[in-house]
Amino acid sequence: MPRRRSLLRGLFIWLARVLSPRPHDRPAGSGRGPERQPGDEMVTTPLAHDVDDAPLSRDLSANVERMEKAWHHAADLVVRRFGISGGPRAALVFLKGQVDDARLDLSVVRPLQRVPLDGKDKAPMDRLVEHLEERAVHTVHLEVLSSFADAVDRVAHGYAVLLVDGEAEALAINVYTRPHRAVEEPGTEQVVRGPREGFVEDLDTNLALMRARVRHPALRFLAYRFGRYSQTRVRVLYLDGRTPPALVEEVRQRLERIEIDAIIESSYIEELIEDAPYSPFPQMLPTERPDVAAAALYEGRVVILTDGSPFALIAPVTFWSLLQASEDYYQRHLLSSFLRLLRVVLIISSVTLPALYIAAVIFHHGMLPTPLLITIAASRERVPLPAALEIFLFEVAFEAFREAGVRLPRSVGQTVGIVGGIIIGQAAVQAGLISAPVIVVIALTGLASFATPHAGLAGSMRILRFFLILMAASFGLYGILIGGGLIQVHLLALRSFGIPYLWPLSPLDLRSLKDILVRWPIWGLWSAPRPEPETADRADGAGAGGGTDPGTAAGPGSGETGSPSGAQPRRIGTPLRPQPPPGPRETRGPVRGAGRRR
Amino acid sequence: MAASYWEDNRITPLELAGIVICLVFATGAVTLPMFTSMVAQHDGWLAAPVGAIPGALVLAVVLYLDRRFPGEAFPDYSRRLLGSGLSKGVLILYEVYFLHVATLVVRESTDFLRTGFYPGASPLVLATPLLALTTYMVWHGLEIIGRTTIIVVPVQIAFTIIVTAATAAQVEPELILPLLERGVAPVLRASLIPAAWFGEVVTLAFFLSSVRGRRARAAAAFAGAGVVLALIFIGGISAGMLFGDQTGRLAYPLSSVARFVTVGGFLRIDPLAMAVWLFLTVIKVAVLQHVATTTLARLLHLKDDRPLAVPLAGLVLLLSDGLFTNKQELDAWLLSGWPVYAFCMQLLIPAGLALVAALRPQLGSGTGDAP
Repeated sequence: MPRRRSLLRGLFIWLARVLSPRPHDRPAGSGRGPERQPGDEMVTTPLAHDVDDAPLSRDLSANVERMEKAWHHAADLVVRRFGISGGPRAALVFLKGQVDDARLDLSVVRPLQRVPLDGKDKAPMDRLVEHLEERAVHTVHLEVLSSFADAVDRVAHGYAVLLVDGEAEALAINVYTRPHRAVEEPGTEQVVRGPREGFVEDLDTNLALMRARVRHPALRFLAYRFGRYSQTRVRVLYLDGRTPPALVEEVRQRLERIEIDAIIESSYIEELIEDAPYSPFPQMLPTERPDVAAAALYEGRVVILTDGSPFALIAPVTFWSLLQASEDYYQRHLLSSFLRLLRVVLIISSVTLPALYIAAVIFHHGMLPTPLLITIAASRERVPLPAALEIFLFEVAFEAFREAGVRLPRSVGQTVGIVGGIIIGQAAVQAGLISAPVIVVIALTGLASFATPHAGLAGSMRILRFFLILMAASFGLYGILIGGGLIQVHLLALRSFGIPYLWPLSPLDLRSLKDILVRWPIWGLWSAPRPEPETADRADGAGAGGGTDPGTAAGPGSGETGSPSGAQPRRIGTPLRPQPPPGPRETRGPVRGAGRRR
Repeated sequence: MAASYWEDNRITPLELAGIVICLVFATGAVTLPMFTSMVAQHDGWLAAPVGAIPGALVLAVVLYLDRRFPGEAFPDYSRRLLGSGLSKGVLILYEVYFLHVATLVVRESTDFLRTGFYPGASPLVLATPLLALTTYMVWHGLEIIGRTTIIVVPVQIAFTIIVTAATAAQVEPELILPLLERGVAPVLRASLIPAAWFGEVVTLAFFLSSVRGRRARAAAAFAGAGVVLALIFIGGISAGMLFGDQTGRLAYPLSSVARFVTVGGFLRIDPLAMAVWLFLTVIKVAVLQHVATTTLARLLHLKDDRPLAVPLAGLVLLLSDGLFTNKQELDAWLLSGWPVYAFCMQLLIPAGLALVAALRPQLGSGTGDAP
């Protein structure tokens, strides 16, 4: 009996250990320790963990051999040995294609070979650094390393690592470059009027594009490197004094929990840090446009740039900001307001139109005026399929055409359009397989969904459309009501980094509504920048409404940009939680990844 | 700090007003003129203002208790005033009452749907999606229920006003004349039904403490009740002027009013009226279900009330089908038994508590000196 009890006890202890939330075995970024400088990169899965961490030796050939072994004689690893003029032998280790050959030649190899080393009284490494800094090109960034793992890490990141005979330290020289395309007009968010620059895959180019729009030291960066194998560089940009510190803190905390093998696109980051991973709605806004990203900074949001992806992520977002195009701010405000109202109507109809048709034809004939009813009935007479099935099948076909058109090469894509439009549409009606009103309804729905500015939102609407079709086929208008209600409640409960998704409509914030369904003139949205973000909160709340949308030139952001530390009674003035309260209803930033389970 | 924003399940006064409108207007919106006209014929429209008086009394009692015990909900102060055992009994009574009212509301909606739109459908099948939606709302908590009203209630108010305004051309004011043809007594008797509807505000006692702004919430509750009174009055008088003495024979007079309206002489809007009205019902059921869930969680000493949401929804679903065999039975009960029952739960018990609170001033002020 006592033995069984101890067994049970052991089981409970084990269960408690397994079930209790365990802090990470290794605190994030422990590679650098707590003495991290503000500008330093935080690395959640450092490369150094896979390499032996012993210090460098004084013997050049031993170091080189060790480096070659660490890289397993990789095809693109270059070891270039040479003699320093008037000094010891040295070797440069770098990855071919990751460094700028011309710069390496002109600013590193040539000065070292030609200019005699001077300053005999100093330690050799100090002399070398001084020598390079004075004679070499000034843009070159130098770093002295003592650990072998760091040296491997720098090589991986496009540095040329200089190993010197007789030195237990190495010099990392930043001559990084990578093949990338030129800045060109983004393919996704096109405008008639507005800047034509778009982000590219290279992080440094993207940072330069951002800096060109925010020339102020208040632009702050958080540097990260994610991915055990990809070691992808990620930069979080925010504007000090505009972005609520709580938002930055929340983003930081979520990012620091990422442990994954590779980050290939910014969508990886999006999925890893969003609030509700099972929601069909996008909770961050991907954009290819630097002007949109810069506007988001001015509104007090956070922009996340990922190396290798031309899409910057903007967080937080609301439902409305996904319905807004950057051009709303570049054209006359009356037109923009009209377009915004039109988009709301279109997005609602893109979800409900097929369902409403089903409800009217199957359940609520009374809703339709008699002549229209007769027209529909006449065209449906030859069709053997029930209306719901008809809509469903053709909606599936429509999605198939769209998918085929997107994936196929452009020249073939047009053929798909012709096949879809003429053969299927025309022939199916003539053959009596599908009634003409169904084609009209599907075409209108497709048109409405194409009018949504952001593909992410249009995509979630495509899924929900099928859900509503199902509900309408089962319960008619009542089903649409319940289905719409479920979607509405989901939207109400959804938050993006603490901002309610439907804000400022619900929770209601009348002042901020003027940049939601309509676009107020810029002079009405604009207010003087706040000198003290912490104390000026109340004054700002009384001022002009904030922009929830990309493009508000210096949007004052009474809402989202409001500092959470101000004791403001209004709900939305302080939308961000400084620290998520522990509780059952707490939203969490889920972090999953292959590297996490260990 | 911004912590107040993150205290879940707190709502704004505006949302409270929306909830009050849903609580009272949801079931009353479509059927109320029928009940009052059954009793008072063409004087039925007078019953709503008279019935609002006891409703205001209930609201005053609830607000008095809230002011007396700030930050405490009904279960807290009933325990203070009545002691642990008795208060448990009262809470069980209310638990049954809220489930019962939720059942009645669900039943009325499914009856409405079956009569008007889906004659062949089973009430269980019709009630299931409705309760799925309300349970989803309850799962997310009071805050989401409150924020739903911000979107739905303005639509409902606009809709009621537009429908009655659009029928203005066809009304015959002489249909409600002569006033008080058979004296005051029928009007008073008819006012019992709207009184029971207005009395639904007793539900507020269970969550008033989670509304921001102590003064603003009292004002918001009364404002919400005032808006409902105006809507019921407008609806009742327009039904009276359109149908006269026949109003009592129409199952859903306001739905019939909506049938007079077409958009551009082309599109009929009564299915839309149904949709809008139903969403109010959804919110009402969600509020009742929320209160029932939290009360039961409190009775069972559970920290998290959400696991109870689904079983209680199932109970409501089954009761809504099993409690009454048909609409006539339901209506008969709503006319006879319901006002008495509602009077006890809505006015008698809260007023008794208020009386105890008034007689024992040493209790209260909510400083935590509880037994």
